[in-house]
Amino acid sequence: MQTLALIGNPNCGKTTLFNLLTGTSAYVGNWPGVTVEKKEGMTNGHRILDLPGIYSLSPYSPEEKLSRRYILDEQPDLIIDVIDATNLERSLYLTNQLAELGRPLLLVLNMEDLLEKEGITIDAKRLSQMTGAPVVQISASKGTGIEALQAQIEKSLSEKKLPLCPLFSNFVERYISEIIGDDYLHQIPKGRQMRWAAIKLIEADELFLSSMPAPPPAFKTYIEKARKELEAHFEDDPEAIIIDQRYKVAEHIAKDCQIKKKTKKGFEFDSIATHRFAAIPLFLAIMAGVFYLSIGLVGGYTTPLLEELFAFLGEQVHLIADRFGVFPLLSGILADGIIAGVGAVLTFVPQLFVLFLLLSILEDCGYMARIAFIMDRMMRTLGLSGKSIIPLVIGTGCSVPAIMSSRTIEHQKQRELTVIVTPFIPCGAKMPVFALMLTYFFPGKWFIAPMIYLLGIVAVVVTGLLARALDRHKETNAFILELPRYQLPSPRNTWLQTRERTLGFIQKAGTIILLSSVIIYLLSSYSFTLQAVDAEQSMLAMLGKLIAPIFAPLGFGFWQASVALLTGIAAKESIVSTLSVTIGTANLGALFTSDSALSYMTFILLSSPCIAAISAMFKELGSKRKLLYAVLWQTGFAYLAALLVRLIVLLTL
Amino acid sequence: MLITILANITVATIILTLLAFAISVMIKQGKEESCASCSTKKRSACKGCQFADKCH
Amino acid sequence: MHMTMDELTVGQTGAVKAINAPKQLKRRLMDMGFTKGVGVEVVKMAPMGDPMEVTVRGYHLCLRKAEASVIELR
Repeated sequence: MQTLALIGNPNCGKTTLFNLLTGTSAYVGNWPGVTVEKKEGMTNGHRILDLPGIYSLSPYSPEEKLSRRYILDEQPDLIIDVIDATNLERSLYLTNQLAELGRPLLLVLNMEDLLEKEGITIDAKRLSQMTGAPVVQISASKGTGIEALQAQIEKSLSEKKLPLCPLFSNFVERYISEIIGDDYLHQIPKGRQMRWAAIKLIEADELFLSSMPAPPPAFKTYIEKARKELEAHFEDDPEAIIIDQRYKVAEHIAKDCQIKKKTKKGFEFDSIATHRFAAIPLFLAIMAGVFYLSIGLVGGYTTPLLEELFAFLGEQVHLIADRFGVFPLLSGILADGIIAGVGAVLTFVPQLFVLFLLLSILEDCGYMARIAFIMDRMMRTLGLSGKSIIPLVIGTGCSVPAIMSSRTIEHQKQRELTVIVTPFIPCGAKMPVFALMLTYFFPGKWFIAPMIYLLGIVAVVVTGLLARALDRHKETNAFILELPRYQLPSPRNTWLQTRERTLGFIQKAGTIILLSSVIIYLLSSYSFTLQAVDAEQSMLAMLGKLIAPIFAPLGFGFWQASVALLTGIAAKESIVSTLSVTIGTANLGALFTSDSALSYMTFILLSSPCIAAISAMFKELGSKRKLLYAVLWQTGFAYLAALLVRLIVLLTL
Repeated sequence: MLITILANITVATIILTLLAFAISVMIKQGKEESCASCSTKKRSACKGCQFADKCH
Repeated sequence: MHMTMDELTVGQTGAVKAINAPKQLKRRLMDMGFTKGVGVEVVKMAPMGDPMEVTVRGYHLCLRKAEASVIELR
């Protein structure tokens, strides 16, 4: 089996191409850094890897190190370099580095369609001549050119032709060839190119030097001399000289292959999106619009309809079962366990579908990076980075991908803080609880729903300010972010992503929610002596009563609420199904009051997220101790906030 | 009498089928998110690789 | 008198002369295309005056004024 590695600048369409080649639907977005880790797949019987997008093979940033280590250690049979055709110069800078690695190289010119719009044409034949690598033109978003690419992959794999190494100016080349002539270079690990090693020696690349035996003294002095002479000649450090030389080659190739025509500028959405005064109100309006459309407009119609449908189904099961003399236990499991529990969750499918759809459009169109741009100043005062806003927006759908997307934040402390605050933003699965409570206790009071989101944001702000106050170093870090071109979301990608997320929600309803509903029903119908009893004497009630007193100050110290919270650890949707199995959605008023309903919602909003999100947090934080602190902070903060909310409600109403 | 027994069996079967389905999907899902999803089919992707350093 | 990139106002252009930053940041900026002689243009400022959006080598990049201040122009 042969191995292919997909590599290229961030946001150049690698993952879309990966999906096309492997027939899958991995997560794609239009902001740099969507693929934070490598993904593997199979195409035509070859192993294919999607590596994180990088600008360079520098030894500094984690993604660049990962890609570099991968290509050097694993020696893929073919490197497929995806080139953003509208960004030729910068893409070729990376290509120049890849060409030196001694592996066959295939260049894929992506985004041909955008190219036409921008009035640029690229002479693929000339590009192939100049780089010594085959060039295939595709449009990953439209899916054109894939067959030609697959044919070329097979051809490249059998030919095993190496690309041309970029040639630098004579002054630099002289030193390179002299270094290559030394015996020391024969000690480089197998498969490495001498030229590559020589350049690394000139650069004094830390990663390379540490992998090599110490050079003999005479050779070492020679390298030092060469570095000094280069420095004197170019008036810059050797590492910078090499970068400069590489970009010169890239410029030269791009100039030769690219024909630019004058383009006419259309209406620029960007002038409003990043406008001095309009930008932030517009962002808020867009987010409000997303929620209004999904929860208010669609949810308002579909949820009651579906609720009625499932209530009707449950009644019918009971009626028919009674007529035929079915055991109450069996009909109870089916009607009051499965139908009530799963139904309570499924009623939210239409509105979540719309929410996922709108979020996917937002991610795809290029607006996310602009949000990071306009919010950076504000986020910085919270000890976060502008890039932290991306996880927070994605978190309104689901915390898991949101937490994973925080990896693009370079600074470790800011990244960890982002991971900790992301679950404060209510995800789609928490929405059913709020909707249930709000329609029961506060019908018509539409303004409470936005307050929940606001409260989530307040929690983010408080945590951020606190973390900043506690941080003694107050260090700042670099914030360098490419602003991708706006684009119309590809219908295919939007559909795939929305479908995957919605199906994921439905799948949870059919699996973990179904199981837990049956278990909750059985536990709430039987006592420890396995007698059919009233819910109050059931096993579940006994277990719930153990923890319920903790929540007494918050106003929901009854066992049903506590049990629902416990099942919520598995999946937040379970809270609604547990409440509907143990209390019944129509009888909430028997136990909850409007103040305890509000404090219950607050607690659910802010307390630690579901197990999937906790494990995502663990992965990103990388330490059990930090995870424990994070969960304790979230839960403790939730408790205090819920208490505060209840006190305020009790004092003012 | 016969109808009652049949009805009971029917309901019990429905419940058991649903539960079996739920559990099998969960097991499948668990596998998909581990290295077990790495297949050598002509066109496929491995979800497990996102969670592990190396599957193959 | 040295002019740095953060001193540019919207619409102004310049050419990179040098980058005066620690190794890591310097490499990062150069990898993004800020090499000697390359032209830059400030496209806009974020609502609160920081970060700034610039074009370099035909693409748009956003960076904070702190990072822009290490890029010396001529």
